[in-house]
Amino acid sequence: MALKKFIFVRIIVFFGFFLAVAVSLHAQVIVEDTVSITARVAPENTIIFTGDACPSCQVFLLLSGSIEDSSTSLGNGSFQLSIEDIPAGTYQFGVYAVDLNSVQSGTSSFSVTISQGVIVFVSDILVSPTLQSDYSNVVRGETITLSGYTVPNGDVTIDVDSGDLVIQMSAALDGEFYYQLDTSNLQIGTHSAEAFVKTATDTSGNSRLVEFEVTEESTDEEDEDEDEEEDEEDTCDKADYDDNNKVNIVDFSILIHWYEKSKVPGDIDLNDDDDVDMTDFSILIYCWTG
Amino acid sequence: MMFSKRLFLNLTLISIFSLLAFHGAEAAKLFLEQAGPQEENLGLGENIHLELFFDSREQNINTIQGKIFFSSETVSLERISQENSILSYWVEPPQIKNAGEIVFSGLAPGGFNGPKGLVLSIDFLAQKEGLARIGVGEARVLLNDGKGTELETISSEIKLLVGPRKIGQISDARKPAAAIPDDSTAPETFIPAISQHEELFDGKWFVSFYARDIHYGISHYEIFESRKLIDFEQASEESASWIGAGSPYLLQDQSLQSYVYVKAVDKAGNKRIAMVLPRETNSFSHHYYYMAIFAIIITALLVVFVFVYKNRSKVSKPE
Repeated sequence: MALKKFIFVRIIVFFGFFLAVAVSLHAQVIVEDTVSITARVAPENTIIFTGDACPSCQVFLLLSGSIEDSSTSLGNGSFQLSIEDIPAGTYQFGVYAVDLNSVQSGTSSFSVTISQGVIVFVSDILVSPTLQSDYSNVVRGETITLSGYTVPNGDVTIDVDSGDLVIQMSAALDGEFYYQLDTSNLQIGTHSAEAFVKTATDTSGNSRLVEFEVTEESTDEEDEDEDEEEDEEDTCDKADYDDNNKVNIVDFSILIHWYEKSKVPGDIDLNDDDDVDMTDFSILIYCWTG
Repeated sequence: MMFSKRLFLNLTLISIFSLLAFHGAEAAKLFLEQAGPQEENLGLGENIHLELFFDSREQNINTIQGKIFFSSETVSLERISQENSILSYWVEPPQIKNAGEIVFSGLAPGGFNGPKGLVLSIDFLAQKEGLARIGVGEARVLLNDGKGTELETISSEIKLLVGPRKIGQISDARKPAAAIPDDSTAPETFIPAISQHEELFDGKWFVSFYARDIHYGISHYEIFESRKLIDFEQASEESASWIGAGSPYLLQDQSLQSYVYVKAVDKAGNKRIAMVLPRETNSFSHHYYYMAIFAIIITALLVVFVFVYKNRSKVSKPE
């Protein structure tokens, strides 16, 4: 009887505590990846993000698309970012990393509602890997190297053509991973690759999409040279109209200038359909660095 | 025979409805919800506050475009709010384009993935008896996949019956929204950027800017270029000749010797001014600066020369 009463009281206390925390702090998070969120009462509103990314990478924190904080991840990949004195409200946050080769990871997004007088901790963020290919054009039969950086010893999966080919490997202690892909079995045309990483406790979102073209075999060396010269510019490089290695408000302004106008220049039109519409904006915002 | 035919018909209908239901269940959703008490009947002069939500069905999206249609004879638009929206950058901020039609298109850097993300909220006022239909249409939602792949999205509509004016006081939830919103918060701080691009304004210098307002959105921007540094916290804004502008804005001073002031004004009239420093130093002051340095050097050399000459004269006099 005493034991039942004890259990009943424990349940009521636990439920009451949970309800009190939920009501008083009212910090709600909608996330793409699994993260932990805790909050405690404090004189000033602060939000702190912690997690893991590639070691020695620059990690950026976006608030509604603007960079609010950045830091270099430690040798084990861990990082911490924060914003102080943030007014109560609902905000869209993003976290991404840039590796030693200036390649950007995918952006993990979080929608967080903050009430007055709390410190909110968003922890266990696992930033997606970075991914790049050594060529954007390759003759069928040759190899193309897909490489990137992620958390040390992470289990990396590279999906080629949305899962048509799945490659799995482990990242090195410095977070580097690479795979030499034999293109003999790939169709002629455009292919894409994305990577994600798994740790013992978590799975990341996808890296940025990498596209490459597999072309017909050619015996003419001149043709091959021409193909190499005609390597297509990466979409996100194209979206960086002012070539400052950032896709931000300047590039947004340039694109909006051409929105729904005729005779759009080829280097503005991001999906090459002779038109600037919401699809171009979607591509630009995918490449967003803040 | 008759029985099996009916059975077949029923089974076919059930299959079609199941397929449709399954199909609907998979698609992302843009839907309107009443904030506060749910009512299907409104009295004349009453307000209804609606929120437009998006359910991404576990897909990561970054673009939402659409229209909100409403019966403009029975209800009138009171105000639109972007507060707490999942969209941070608006290509077309929500606004009335034609009678009974609000257009909007916005972007979410980093994407959004969730079951109930607020897109915008709207207040309508019941102005004439009859059926009011308010719905979302022409929705276009794009995935955050680097290609702008379109995500199949279904949208909904709500129906309200506007009846005669209700007897007694209107409840707080149904009181008309203020024409000028109760908002004293200035737009957020923003940083304009000066740049040039060969495909814009013939390669001339322009300024880009985008300010966010957490409540009702930005009403307009104004720009002022000046060779003088002005502290608008002290000086009157009226002293400057502000020009209404949009981003990107072609700079008048292409020599980049001016301070560029950008003023963002929200729908409640709150203002935030951001400033960009001149890139090039004013040529006159630049010239004057070097002239002054040159004059100081010459004077110093003359002083040294006179000093040395006098000392030599003193040394040579005893002989």
